[in-house]
Amino acid sequence: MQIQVENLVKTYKNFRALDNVSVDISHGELLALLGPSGCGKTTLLRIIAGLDFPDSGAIRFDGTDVQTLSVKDRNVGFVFQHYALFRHMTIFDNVAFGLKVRKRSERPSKREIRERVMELLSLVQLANLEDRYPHQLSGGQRQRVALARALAVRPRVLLLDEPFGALDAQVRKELRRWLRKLHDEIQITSIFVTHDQEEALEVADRVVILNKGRVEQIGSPDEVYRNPKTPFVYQFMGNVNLFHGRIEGIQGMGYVRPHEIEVDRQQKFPSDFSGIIEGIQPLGPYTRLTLKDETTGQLVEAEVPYETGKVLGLNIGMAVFYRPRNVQTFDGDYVI
Amino acid sequence: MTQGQRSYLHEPLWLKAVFIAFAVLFLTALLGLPLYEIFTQAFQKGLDFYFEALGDAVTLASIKLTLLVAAISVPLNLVFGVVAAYAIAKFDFRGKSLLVSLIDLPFSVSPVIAGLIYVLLFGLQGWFGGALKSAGIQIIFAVPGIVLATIFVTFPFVARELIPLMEEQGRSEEEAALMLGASPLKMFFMVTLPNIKWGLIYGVILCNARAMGEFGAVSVVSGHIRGETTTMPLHVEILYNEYNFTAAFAVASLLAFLALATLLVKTAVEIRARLAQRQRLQAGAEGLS
Repeated sequence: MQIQVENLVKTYKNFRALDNVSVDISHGELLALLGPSGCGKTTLLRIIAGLDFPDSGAIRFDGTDVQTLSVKDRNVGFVFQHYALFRHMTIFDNVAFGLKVRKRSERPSKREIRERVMELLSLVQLANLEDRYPHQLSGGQRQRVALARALAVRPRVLLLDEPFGALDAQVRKELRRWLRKLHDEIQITSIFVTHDQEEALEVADRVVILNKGRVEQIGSPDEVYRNPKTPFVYQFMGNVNLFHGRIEGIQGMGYVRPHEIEVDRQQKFPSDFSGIIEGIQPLGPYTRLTLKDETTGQLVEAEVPYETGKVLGLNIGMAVFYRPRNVQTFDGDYVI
Repeated sequence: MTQGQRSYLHEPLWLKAVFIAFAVLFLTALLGLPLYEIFTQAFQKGLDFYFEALGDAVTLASIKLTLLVAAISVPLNLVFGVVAAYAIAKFDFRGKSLLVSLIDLPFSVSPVIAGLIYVLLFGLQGWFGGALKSAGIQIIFAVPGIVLATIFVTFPFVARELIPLMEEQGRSEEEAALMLGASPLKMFFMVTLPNIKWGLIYGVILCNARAMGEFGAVSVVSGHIRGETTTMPLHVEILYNEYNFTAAFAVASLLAFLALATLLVKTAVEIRARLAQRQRLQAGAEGLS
């Protein structure tokens, strides 16, 4: 299903949660709403679901305005950050809930319900846990039950609110890969909210970056990472060093990612900067260096591959030369 | 080293003994002895006299009235408590803190004042006194007044029990139910109610105990018409003032039994709640194998 969000505005007391937000979501797409906490991403999701109401603007499902439709009639699947499983029901009853509450005339038979629930439980790889209660499952399992429960009613769109936010790092990574795979299998239009840029980049077809209730940029993961439109997007997508008007040919602020800084013991180009190593932090495959620039005293973060660091024989207090490989500016041009 | 740590973490034996002795003495003096006294006084003249005292027509009327008052006020406060707790715990609205303090009001107001409010409103000299009289409705010095006063003093119990429970559970299970297509009624009976079941039973038990035992507020509005507007606590007072001690303690023993039964049911409810939890665990363990 196709979703159009047009000029949404939502204000809580004195706080503008959404400020003229417009997004188009195409059929079968997996879209990430990405932004820091308080940027309005969850509000947007809840408004699409019908759990919240905008002050103005429109939401259309396949061209039809849904604002007068109740939560029930929108036929939306929703997965909550903290699962919101029914704690007094077994996993089976949780997944069957949406089918059991239907009016008698629309309700599938007991056998059909059982088949559908079992099919979904095996889809989320939880077959034979149907008699358990939510509190007996791990976080990752609970979230998959929540997903199965949402899918049971064959929703037109699936909304996920920070679905992996309460899980630990390892499970999180596994589950988001699994979600991507699942989405490719069942091809349902899906929107998920996250504050983790890595998650958005890895899972989504397209990413919407929100900040203070406004859309900063919409694009493919590669696009928003490689070609950020605003300083906010650039800073939000990764670590950053700021060079204030000190790089040849650049006026104003230049942005450089730590891994795009080369470090050498010898000067290679006249434009090289010189600095002193103040800190060395080994981070597995690469090493993070904190350099103090010799002329300005500014601290610069550089990330060099572990091997390079070893070859250079870096030590704290050592004088080195460094040069940015790629500088981003926001008057529109790159300088290399 | 461990020896040293232990002495920091644990009080010396004599101090423990003093604390425990103090607690036991305190409980015996304040709870145990009075209870013992009630039963010895009640059965002083033998079982026959005890049952005769309870079989008295006026006493029976007071028991009946007490049950009637509880049967009206407890269900009303059950409904009110659930609705109020639901509104307070799951929604934000203007005047919410005012509503919370209003619910707490009966706890902070003297029951005598609570009774007096109704006398001032519905009594003959009260605001609505004239209108009620011409309509032929009597509230004060009659059963309706007693019910009103009882409802007033007991209405915090259910709501107070449920508000923290519902606040802790949050709104997302209800939202999930709605998203899955449940009607509001189905959502309430299939999701909300099962989640608050034990807290609700607990609140109702406490509410009932207070409804049957209330003295102050009921005393003000009752008028003490023997056999008509005297509830059990009031009847105990009347008998006592007439130097009919054994009968007074016989009726008092019924209230004491009620208190003990309440305690028993309360404990049973707590055990049941814990048992239900354990059964779930077992069911889950079997499901796994």
